[in-house]
Amino acid sequence: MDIIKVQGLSKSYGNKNVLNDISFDLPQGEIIGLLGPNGCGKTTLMKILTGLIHDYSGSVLINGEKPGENTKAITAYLPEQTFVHEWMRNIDAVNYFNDFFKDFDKNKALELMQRFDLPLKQKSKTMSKGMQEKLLLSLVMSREASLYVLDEPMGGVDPATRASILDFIMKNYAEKSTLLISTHLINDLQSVFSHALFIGGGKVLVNSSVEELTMNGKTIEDVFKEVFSNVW
Amino acid sequence: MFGKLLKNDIKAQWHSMSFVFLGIVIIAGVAEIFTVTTKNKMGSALGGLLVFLVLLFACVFIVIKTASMFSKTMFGRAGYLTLSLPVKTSTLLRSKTVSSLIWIFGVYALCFGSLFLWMAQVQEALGEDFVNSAESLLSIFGVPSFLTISFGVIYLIVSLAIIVLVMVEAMQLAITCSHVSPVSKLGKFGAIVIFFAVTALVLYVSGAVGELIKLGLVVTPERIILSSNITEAAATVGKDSLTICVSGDIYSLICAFVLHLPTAYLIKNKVNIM
Repeated sequence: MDIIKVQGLSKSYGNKNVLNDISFDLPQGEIIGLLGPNGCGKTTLMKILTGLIHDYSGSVLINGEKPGENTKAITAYLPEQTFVHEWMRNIDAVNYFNDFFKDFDKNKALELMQRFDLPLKQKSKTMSKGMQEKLLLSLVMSREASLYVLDEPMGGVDPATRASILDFIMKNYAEKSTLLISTHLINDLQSVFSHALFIGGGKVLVNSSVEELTMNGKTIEDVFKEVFSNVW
Repeated sequence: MFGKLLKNDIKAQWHSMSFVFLGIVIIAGVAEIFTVTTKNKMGSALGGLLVFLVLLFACVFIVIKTASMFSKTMFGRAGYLTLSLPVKTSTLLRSKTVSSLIWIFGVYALCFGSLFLWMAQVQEALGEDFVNSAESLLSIFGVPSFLTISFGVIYLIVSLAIIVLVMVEAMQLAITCSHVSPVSKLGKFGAIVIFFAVTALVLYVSGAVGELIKLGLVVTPERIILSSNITEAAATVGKDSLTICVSGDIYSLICAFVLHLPTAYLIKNKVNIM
């Protein structure tokens, strides 16, 4: 069964077409790499899927429904930038998630924060970018969501921490759920992807299982370079 | 969900506005010490004036702060969290409206309280009794009944509350419009223009409605009568009665609820969180 169905999706900012009549379906229970060069529309696509961008044309369905109140209840979104309110301490952020998301496991979040050495009473705005990223990951990965949408989850962390964060994501996402991860750090993440969606020039360039893509011994990074050297 | 949203909105606003209240308490405390220690009655009246002026400033500040909070939590970085909550847009907006009203009314109540206190201090400094002065002022206008005065004051508060509600709804609409193309190109300027235009339009039409439709209340010392023509009804009752035209306020109240609809529509269908 497909958890994401997109038909004829177009989105532009002024005269610039970011997504140009794209269509694809993404299967449930997979770890999907959303790959493409900077500015190709990965974040825009993720915002559309999570109901933060509305003025697009075409059809987008998450679990059979248009992005809205119901799909937000089953989608855990990690944006590129911190979204925790300025006044919140880490414990306030945990309580906030606990208030609004039925699938949120508060004990798990507290446990994860302890593992990351995040002080519960520290205000998030006083933390470093790396710590904020860990806080957001702890919050998002403590949900038992059907779909996780992670926008550059390792964008702000040093190479040494990346492996532990990746391990953290893999160990903490709900079973049978779908992970859609956008990244430009293909090398770090390619080992976990089971499906890849390449977008560039406003179009879907590749939508295939990793098994198919790497059949002749190539890595995802090789395929990526091949595809985008033809496009750009 | 509404209760949880309201709780969190009030918490957020408390963290942002508590220093305003702290400032008020400090200045009021200093003014009070000055009032008590000074032997000059005019000096104590000046202390009261200072508190009133601070609160007047707080009244303006709280409205600006409320607008800024709405903008930040809906369309700023925090908007990523606010708008990814599994909650209806109208519920989100209702919570923001109610929490804003609580803070605005809180400061306005303090401001009016300090105004009366200051007036009493001035009267005392001039050697007059505030209650006697108020009574003689009211007797000039021929409204000596306690019931009519009480009702008049309550209605005045309700009427002011309706105006504040209209302003909050207009502010939410204006800020939302400023995040939708093509108004977004004008930024904050667009929001300010829309806010004043919408508020002025609603209040102007409300005044006109009040002139055209004479629906109102006639308050006599014995009872309160609803009348479809208060001009005629006022002629049949004594001087100790009070007539209040309510049609304009009803219109404003309806407008406040109607203004909520385009705001919710725009957030749900047109706004992009960038």
